Amino acid sequence: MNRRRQLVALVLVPLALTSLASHLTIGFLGIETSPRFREPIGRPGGSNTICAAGSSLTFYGLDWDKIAAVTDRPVTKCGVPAASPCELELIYETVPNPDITVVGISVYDLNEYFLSDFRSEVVPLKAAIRDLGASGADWPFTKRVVSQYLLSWLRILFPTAGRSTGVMVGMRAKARGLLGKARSGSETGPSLNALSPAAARIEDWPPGRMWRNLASTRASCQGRIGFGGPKRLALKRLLSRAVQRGRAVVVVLPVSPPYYNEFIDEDVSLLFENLLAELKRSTSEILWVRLDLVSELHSTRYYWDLVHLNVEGQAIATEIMIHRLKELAVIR
Amino acid sequence: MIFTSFEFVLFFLIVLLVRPWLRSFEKEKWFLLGASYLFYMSWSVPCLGLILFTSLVDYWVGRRLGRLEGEGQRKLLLVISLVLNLGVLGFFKYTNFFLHNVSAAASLLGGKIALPHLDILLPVGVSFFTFQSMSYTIDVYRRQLQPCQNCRDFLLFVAFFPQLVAGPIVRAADFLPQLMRRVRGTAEDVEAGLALFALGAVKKIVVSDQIAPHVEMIFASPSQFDALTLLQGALGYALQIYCDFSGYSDMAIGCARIMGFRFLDNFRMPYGALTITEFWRRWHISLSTWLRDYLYFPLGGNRRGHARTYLNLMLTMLLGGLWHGASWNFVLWGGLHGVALATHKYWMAVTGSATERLRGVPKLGWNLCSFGLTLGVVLLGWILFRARNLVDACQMVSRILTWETTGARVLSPQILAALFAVSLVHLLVSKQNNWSEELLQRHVLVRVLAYSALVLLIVCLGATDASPFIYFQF
Repeated sequence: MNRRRQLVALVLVPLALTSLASHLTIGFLGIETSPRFREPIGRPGGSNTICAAGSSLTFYGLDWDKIAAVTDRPVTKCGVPAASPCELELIYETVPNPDITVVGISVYDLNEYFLSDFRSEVVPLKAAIRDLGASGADWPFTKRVVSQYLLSWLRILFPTAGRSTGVMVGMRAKARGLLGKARSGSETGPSLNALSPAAARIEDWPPGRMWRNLASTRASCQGRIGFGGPKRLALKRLLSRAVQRGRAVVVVLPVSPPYYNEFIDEDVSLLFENLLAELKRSTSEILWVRLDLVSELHSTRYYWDLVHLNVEGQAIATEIMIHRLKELAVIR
Repeated sequence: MIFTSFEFVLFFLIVLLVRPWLRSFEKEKWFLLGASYLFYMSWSVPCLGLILFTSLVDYWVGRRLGRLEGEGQRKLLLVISLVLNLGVLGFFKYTNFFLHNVSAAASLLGGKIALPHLDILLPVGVSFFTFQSMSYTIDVYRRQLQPCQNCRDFLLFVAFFPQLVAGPIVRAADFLPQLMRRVRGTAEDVEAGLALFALGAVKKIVVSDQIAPHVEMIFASPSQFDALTLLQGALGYALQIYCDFSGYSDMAIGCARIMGFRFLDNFRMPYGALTITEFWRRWHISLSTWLRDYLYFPLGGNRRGHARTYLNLMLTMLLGGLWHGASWNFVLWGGLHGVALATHKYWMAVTGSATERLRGVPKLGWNLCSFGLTLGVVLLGWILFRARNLVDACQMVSRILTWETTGARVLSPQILAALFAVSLVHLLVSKQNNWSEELLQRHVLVRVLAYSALVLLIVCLGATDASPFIYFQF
């Protein structure tokens, strides 16, 4: 073989081998790669349905089975992991005729710099660029968002690309399995498919684990927090659409005290409140449930990780939610 | 446009695809110059004027130096070049540092001078391209190099995109001859270049970017952690900066090599060094040799007696430290290395050869001691280098030395895994040879497996959001 052909082989064969290994790794470690998520709960039937749209915080934070049972309405859960309004507004359109729409938001998942891994697979590039332009996003952030689309194309060949956290967590879980240790729920990260809420409490975390989680969370949003970008625009559109389709409720979910202490200072808090005020002004028909202001939930006892409520927190939040929905005459 | 971004890959692919279509070498050089400026403009458009201005002045100085015979006039021209380059470096990098220290000194003396903090933009790569340009005029002044006769070639030497923003600091004597005749990357060049680029990407996005958040956490609040965690943080930073910077250098050398250009190595397994002198022969080689040739030797090197040698070493390393940034942390880091280098030189002078003196001690034991001591000095240096301020640095060092057990213990799996991997590579790979060259000699199957492993590491463990390279800020 001449040197040129050998070079071509030396480039193509490793790429082919790596692609194969990458596909096998995804399968072996069971990494979630399909983004769309819609799950019906409660009695079957098309009328008087509740659509619950949000990220994993919404589904860990509230017991939708209970809400479906209390209201005697079918609930359709819709979202993708780490969903933001950008993805939700598109997934929401696939839900047929919701009577009531409940949108879960929080100071965590409305942070513009925290991007869902599945954003590029749900939001068309054209729409993303339009929103980036409309919100006056800076160049580094624009590059970051657009890079997600390139990454999604790369993932056709290498599905593990950009999923290093999933690979590392999966490998650790497999290693624990091989060593005969139980797979810890919190190790695998939150999942929208979690059927049973997690019982663990962050108050039991050793300090090291808390520090590591704070560091990872900071890295995932590159240490930046802002609420004035594409997520804000998408949320406004989502809420307008929800009002058109029926009654709309926004639930502001709480995050854990360590998260607040680390990331939410007065300025950030003010920015977030300004965003909520703007939403209230622009869509006055929206009903609001502020679980983030419930003082009882401001305890590490009720959190499974930095941002997700555990089973105890979920019970409290669900009770308050049902009570509030009744107060607002959304349900009887 | 960092090397690990999609935009750079696209940019580089366009450069590679267009080059063969350019019929003449002249056109190709214009194209490479344009591409290099475009690359720089992706960082900063206004600063392009600065690089163009300093390059044109140094080109003119070089040409004049080639024509003039009178020493006085030649010296004047050299001074013009040095003042310009150091002036640019000083103004953009050190103005605020100077103003701040004048204010601080005045308040220490009981006076009060309210000097403003100027909003000066630091041009990316200013420390690199000014040093590169200065080395040219000094070499021409010393008559060690013929002046470049073509302005475009000189501009390309200064701005060639693989080394423009973070080195390696390429010497004109190494690069300009490569612009004399058309170079094309052979199959070997392309293979070696791609392998180096992939290795650099592994170092950057698999090691450095993955451990960066954990290192950041530890250095952000050292008082919160116990000694073991702080030691882990220092080791983590040692890995982070090595993998970040040597990763960049590998990618830069790899890019150039794919195009058929050769740069010298910038790193050779520095943490395997047994002495601090050896460390500096392996760490940021292009800077350490620059400092040796253009600062240490002109100061007299080791030819003016022991005391002067130690003083020269100290001055060289202090200025080398200051080159990294406008902060007393960097000066102290340089000072520490200066003291260590002088001490090692003194030790060698006193003992003749350390190993000779300790003949009775088994070689492995001696090497381990020597390695441990060197690593200790290097780690201490990195703490000074990375800490937010001197108070933090002192606190971190004292907590480690007193083996403080109060505070959180955070063992980062990423740092521990990276420590294990880098230690293994240092143990298994020859310190003397360039592995990408060695790999080219191996059987094709070995190469396929090696390259597959590199790509697999990138696509499975590469961090998604690559952070800028640490050395960009210098």
